[in-house]
Amino acid sequence: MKTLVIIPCYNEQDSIVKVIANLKKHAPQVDYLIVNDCSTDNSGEILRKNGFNYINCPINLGIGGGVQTGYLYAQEFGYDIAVQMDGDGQHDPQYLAAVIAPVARGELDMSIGSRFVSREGFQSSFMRRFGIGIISNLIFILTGKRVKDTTSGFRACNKELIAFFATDYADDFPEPEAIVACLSNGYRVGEVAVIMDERQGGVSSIRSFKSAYYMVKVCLSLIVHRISFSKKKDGR
Amino acid sequence: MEELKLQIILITGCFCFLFLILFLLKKHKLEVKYAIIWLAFSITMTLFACFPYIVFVLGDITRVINPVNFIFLIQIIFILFILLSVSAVVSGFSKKIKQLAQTNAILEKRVRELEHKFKGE
Repeated sequence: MKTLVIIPCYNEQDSIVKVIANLKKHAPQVDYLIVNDCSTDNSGEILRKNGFNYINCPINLGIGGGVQTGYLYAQEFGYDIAVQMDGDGQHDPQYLAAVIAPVARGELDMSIGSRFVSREGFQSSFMRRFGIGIISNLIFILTGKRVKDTTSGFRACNKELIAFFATDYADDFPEPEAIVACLSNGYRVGEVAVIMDERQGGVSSIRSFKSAYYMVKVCLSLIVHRISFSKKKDGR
Repeated sequence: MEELKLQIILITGCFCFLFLILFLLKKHKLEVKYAIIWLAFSITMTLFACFPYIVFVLGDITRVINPVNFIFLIQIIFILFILLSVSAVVSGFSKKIKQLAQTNAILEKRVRELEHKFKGE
């Protein structure tokens, strides 16, 4: 199966080389695509010098728009499976096979690498876990499905979902929204236990002063998603 | 006499506004689809200025105490709709810009690879 690993990269000059080296070591058979979302540091130069397979966004699209570019690319080049993986070294490519497996077997449409299934490794700060828990509960209320690690950006999806995400993917903070969009359209979503590391460089897209806005925006968009898709659910 | 003076000023103002919109349309500074709500707004205001009787009757029907408040109410409703429509238009643009940037990004990669291949030969 043709697999593409999409790595969004925004100012990851300290970690991106290591991430790719790791990826090549653990999963040499998969293709990867780095989406350089108008980095303001040296990332672009590093990508060029190392001869990585990368794409340059002409304007800063945000994490959602950047990842969606990857899905568009995957669709255009006919990939069967697309995996999202962060460029900051949080996601260990050694679990790539585990995350892909349920999708490759056709058991799931989207499989999420979750740090809360086995509760090992980096567990994030208390406030983060609290926020993730709220989102998890909200998703449970809205869709009836329990997803523990709602903000994990380590996820694999199949061809159908690649096409779905290529046309419709949230702009900023897209992870929880994508889960609800999938579930309410009848796609199967599941979690796989992975162990995450602390980020090796760069800054999270969700910084402290932004977190209140993040929670409000995510909760609101989840509810909106549920409203606008509720009629389609029975169709599938 | 004072009332007539005020009415003349209002009518002149409304017509100026209407002509400004038409002028912008003519000069293609404003697209027709975005101008419709503005035209409706200014025509309504012109009607109110020319025939204040309408305002008195509608104000009576809706039990608004001061007829001028009825005009303010209508104006605020119009402005809210216009603002909302602007937000919707901007959202549409941001989506289009995003798509443009994404296809451009993929295109740039393809061109870069092609150039690289030609240089290699």
